[in-house]
Amino acid sequence: MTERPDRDPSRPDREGEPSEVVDAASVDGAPADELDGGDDPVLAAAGARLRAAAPTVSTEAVTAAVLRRRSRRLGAGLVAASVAVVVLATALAVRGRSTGDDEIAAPPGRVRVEDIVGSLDEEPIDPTTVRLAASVSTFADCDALIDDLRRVGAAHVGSRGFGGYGALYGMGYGDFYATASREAAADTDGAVAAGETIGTNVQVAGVDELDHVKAEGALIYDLDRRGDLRITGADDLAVRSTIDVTPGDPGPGGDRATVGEMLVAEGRVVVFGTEVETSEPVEGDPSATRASTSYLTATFVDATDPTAPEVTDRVRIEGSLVSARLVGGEIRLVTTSHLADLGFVMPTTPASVPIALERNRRTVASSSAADWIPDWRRDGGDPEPLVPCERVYVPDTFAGVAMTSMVTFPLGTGRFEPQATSIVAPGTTLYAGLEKVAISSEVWVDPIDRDRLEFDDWQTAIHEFSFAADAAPGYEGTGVVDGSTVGQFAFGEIGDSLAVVTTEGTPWDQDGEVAVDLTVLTPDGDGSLTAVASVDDLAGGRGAVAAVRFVEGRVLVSTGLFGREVHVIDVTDPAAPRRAGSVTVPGQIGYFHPLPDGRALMVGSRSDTVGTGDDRRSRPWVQVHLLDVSDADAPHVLSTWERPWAADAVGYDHHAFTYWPDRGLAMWGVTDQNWAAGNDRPNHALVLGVGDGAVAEVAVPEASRPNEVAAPCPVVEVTDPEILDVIGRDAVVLRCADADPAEVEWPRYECGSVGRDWIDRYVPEGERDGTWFLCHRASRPTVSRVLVVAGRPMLLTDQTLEALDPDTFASTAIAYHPSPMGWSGY
Amino acid sequence: MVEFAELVEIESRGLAAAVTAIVGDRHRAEEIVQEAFERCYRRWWRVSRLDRPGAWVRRVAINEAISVSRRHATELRVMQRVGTMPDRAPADPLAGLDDEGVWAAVRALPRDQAVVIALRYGADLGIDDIAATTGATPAAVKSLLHRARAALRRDPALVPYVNAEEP
Repeated sequence: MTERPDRDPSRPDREGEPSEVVDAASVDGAPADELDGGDDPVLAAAGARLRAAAPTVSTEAVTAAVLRRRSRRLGAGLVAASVAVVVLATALAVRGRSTGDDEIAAPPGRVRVEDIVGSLDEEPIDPTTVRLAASVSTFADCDALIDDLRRVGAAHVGSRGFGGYGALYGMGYGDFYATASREAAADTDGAVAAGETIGTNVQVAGVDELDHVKAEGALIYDLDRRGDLRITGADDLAVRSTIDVTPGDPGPGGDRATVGEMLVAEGRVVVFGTEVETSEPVEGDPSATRASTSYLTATFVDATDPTAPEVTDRVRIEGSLVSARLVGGEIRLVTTSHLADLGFVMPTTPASVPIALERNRRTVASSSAADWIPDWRRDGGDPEPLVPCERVYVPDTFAGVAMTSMVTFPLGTGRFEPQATSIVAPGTTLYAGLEKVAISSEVWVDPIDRDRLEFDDWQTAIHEFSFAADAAPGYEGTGVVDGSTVGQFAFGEIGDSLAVVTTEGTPWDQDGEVAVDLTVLTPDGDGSLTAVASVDDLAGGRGAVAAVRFVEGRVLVSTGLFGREVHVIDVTDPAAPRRAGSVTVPGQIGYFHPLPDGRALMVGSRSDTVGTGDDRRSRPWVQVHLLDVSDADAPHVLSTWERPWAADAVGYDHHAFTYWPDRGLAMWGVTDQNWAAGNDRPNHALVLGVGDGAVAEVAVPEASRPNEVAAPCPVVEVTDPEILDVIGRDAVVLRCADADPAEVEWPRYECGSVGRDWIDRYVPEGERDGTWFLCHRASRPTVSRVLVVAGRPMLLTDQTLEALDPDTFASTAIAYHPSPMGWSGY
Repeated sequence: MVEFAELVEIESRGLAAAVTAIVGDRHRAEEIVQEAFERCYRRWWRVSRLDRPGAWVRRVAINEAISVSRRHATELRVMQRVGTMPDRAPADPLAGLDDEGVWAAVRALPRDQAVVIALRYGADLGIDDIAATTGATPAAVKSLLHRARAALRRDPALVPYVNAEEP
């Protein structure tokens, strides 16, 4: 039998009868994780039969299919796929506004609909042929705008609509709870902190980014993942107040409202969340379905009195959050909305594809401006358009069916008072510097089509915006560059211009042997961004960008197989950026952090293999290098530090990293990866000194468990082996009085309530009163953020808030502070 | 570092079973698993250096399976089974169902619960592997498994009806 590389080799093989499995783990005292419920004989037996009958996939079939696709790409190029139900995904949101808004154009007459539909080709426009715009138009009024949108929209819509709802489903590949933080905290309302407070790590100093935790003055604001904003004092780790910030009554069909990210300034908070509304299927037509509609929610909290915060406004905005920033008290918010609510149908059999296509085309051809322009609505109020028709910019070629809006509003008023400008294009990434702000677009492709379609020359469009006091955001122009980006860090400023680093190819399928380019873009005053300078193919055809950072006078790019090449672009002359030196490091680089004196810290990882035979395992390392780029032509690594059996989140979540400038310390959390050594091993934070030309370990504090406390309700002893089989041997059953809350919080445990019918089945009559909970040992706390609040370093974990000594980084106080990072999104 | 062929051999059967459990269609499951491995192969230079390449390919396949099963949610509504109620077996009501009934009941669970059951019993994975695949903590996986098993035992034959009525 071959070894299972990502499975604990000590775990008994379960191919045999489940009843033969011996509870080895619990014998030696370790928690019986693996056996928890493993002995559910009915499910285990059904699973074994399912595996026996499961279809098999062979390596040959996989490699042959991949080769087939490649040769098709090389040969025939873009010969239209015969069967393909091509879906141009991305869509425009929007629900019909109820009644007569004079500005909004009326639906077109029947003749006009026939005219539009009749003029279309048999197949929808193939997304592989869509070219991004280089120029845009605006329209004098809503009538002119909608006429244009109907025509282009009908030409793009597919048999399944615009497909944008796909993004709501499934699990993300990155962090489920990623997000960000703040910069340069101001003292709250005269509450002078005893020491400095460091905001979480941002790309551009002075431009705050979204995060689930913020520190300001001597207070910590965080979202507890149950929909509450929690305000905690750094001095005593005591929660000052907790306030529900989920949206109000979601209305019929509204469900799954979550909040995830916020911005804070001077005790004023805005919390962004998501609400998903699932439409009912069309009556009498079981094959038709309507997509879910996603709303962005914003809740404003006045927490200037941290003991008595108040919600001052709640709104929901059509579309989803691309990102938001806080600059000088003003929020810059980017949303993308989809036309999912037009009521598209989906075919369920091949024969119904043309029928569904025809129906969806008619839907778009008869749409009104209200269907396209995103709305926003205050709790209990009427919907209002987010943007007037004359501030909607329409690209000369249709880049995708989505409306992306740049919205600004002040945070201090505590009310949503938006000014917006929109562009008909998908929104992918927001870059916001102090001077330059840009949104990037890609042609959105439904994930299920990503491997079926081949894009020969993928492009990214970049839309630049400008801001002035008391005015709506200004649109400066759009530029198009070849290739795709790695997100916000791919963008930066060189001199007075915006610049971007791109990798040839699509964002989801970089093959590692491609060109990497730097392009500098400047508005030509006529609605376009023109490339004024570039460095082409800076990795010599061996590209695929892993990480980028614009630092003083340099752009650092890690590329190539395993991301091990670090290239330096010298941009000290903005008019003539040039490829300078490069350096090879023994691992991949996921994040660059700029340091003074021409240096940068590179956070990355590597892995090697330990053991032989059945014990052979991959061993991950967290690796940190101090890079000197003061001579652009001769970059060199001054020092390297690494830690085995560890992994971090910094590469995809830069807010997990904290730099303490006065102390020259870099700090972030790492998780233990040595599963084979037991699954009850602690996780840590790294505290590394990065001054003095070397990376030196200052401390590696352990994330402590919360203090043990007695069970909140009487413990019921379970001896019946049948019940133990179902609940697991390490489980603890609690029986609380009826008056107790529906949830139980018990440090070191995770508890869930037990259903009444289940109690009726297993508990003798007469002993069934009360609310029953089943608790399992919680896994070790994981550090999500290292904070410095009022001069005090602290660890925020999924279970605790732990204060550390600023010199020794030893634990000085700990509070149970749960933010269950459960599997959200459903 | 694990070889691609090795990964296919190790993961494909269990993964196909788990995906079958989620989408309820063997042929669709085969397509999904095949596609997941194709994507894996195309970026093997990246996936192979992950600590758990198996978790990567499983996640791709499970994501797609969830997406497919959601698209077919409407079908599920009209496909409500008119099965006979099992005799009230005092020990374990789930035992009164045939395999098809068991998996139909699993599919009617909330999506996250169905996924952990499919990975645990269909793919025969341990808690840590399920956690690595779904991104949840091991404790959350255990709790989901517990809730799912309890829900299935509430009245498995009725589960499809109950859930079909919720939007």
